[in-house]
Amino acid sequence: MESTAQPLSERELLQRAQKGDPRAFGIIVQSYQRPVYNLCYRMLGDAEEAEDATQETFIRAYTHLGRYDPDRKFLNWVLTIASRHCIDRLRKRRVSWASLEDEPYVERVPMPESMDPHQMAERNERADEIQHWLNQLPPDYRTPLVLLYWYGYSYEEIAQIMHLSVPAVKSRLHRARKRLAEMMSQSASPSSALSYPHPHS
Amino acid sequence: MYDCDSILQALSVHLDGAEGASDLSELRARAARAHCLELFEAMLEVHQRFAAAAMAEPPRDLAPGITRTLVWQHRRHQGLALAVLFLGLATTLIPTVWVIWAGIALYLDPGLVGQGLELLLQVVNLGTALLVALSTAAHLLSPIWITSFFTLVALVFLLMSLVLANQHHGRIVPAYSPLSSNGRFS
Repeated sequence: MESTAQPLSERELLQRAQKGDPRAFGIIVQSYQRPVYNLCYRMLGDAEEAEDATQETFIRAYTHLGRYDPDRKFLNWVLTIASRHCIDRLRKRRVSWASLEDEPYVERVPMPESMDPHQMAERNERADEIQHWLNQLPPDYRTPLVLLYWYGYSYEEIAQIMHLSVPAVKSRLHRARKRLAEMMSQSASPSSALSYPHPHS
Repeated sequence: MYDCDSILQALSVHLDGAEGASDLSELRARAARAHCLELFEAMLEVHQRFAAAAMAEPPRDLAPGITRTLVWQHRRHQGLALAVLFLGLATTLIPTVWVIWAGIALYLDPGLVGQGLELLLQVVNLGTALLVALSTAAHLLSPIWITSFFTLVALVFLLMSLVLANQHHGRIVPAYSPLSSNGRFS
């Protein structure tokens, strides 16, 4: 007889994981690795460290699964863990984020292998540029920006993930953008970032 | 009056797509009048760049690697829990035998009050050891709380034993001796 086993829902997988089934949680990891890795990469600016941080995030999530509120979106909960962990890592680096003269290490964003090399190089350059600007910001300013642009979260969702008030999120987003705009204006030259064509134009 | 920072703040709200945001062309005109058009355009540029940025792709072996680590950690944890349970049961084996033996002795000679208290003390110890072992294995209660509670109970029994021992102290019961008072066998 043919097996008609239905794939388990996220809730069922989480219930199994809570009962101590790491393989069920592995399926959850598979589904959410991309957004978690992206957040870690955008926060830390280093692919290898982002990998470590992603692993640590999922291990923490699995260990503290008992604290997860099923009424909340699982991704939001994991992103909360990830952002806190990344901020901790950044603080440990003991870098003075206030200084605009800092030149943190920027790694190229890993791209799908199927992409054309020319396209890949172009995307890498743009990604490098964005990551470069992002690396200049203090950790607390990066998180709302990443959550807004890469995840399309609302003020309320960002506030929930970061345990902040909505006005605080608004203020950080504005300050982050303003700081980036100031940096871009200062470094504007024919060969600089501003020479890239607008993606939406 | 045109305050540059308030214009940029309004632009930020507009870019976030929040409700009640001002019109972009109106904001641009205000920025031009406030002489902060350069920063205004740079902010728009930042927004466009970030909005177009793709998600970073994780390495292919990331999820399987995390799952392997989780499985390994789970097995290690299970092994540790079993080891604790085994050690707990092993350490309770001797008091268990003693409790049974002392219980039989007490049943045969109910006058042994001191021994009875000692037996209770041993029962408490046994219960503690078993609870610690089982709860550690099942992650039910913190071993610290259980041991602290039962240590207190054991201390109460110990104090009771001391009080009783003090009450009975001084009653010298002459032991039977086959020797007579002159040191010869009677």
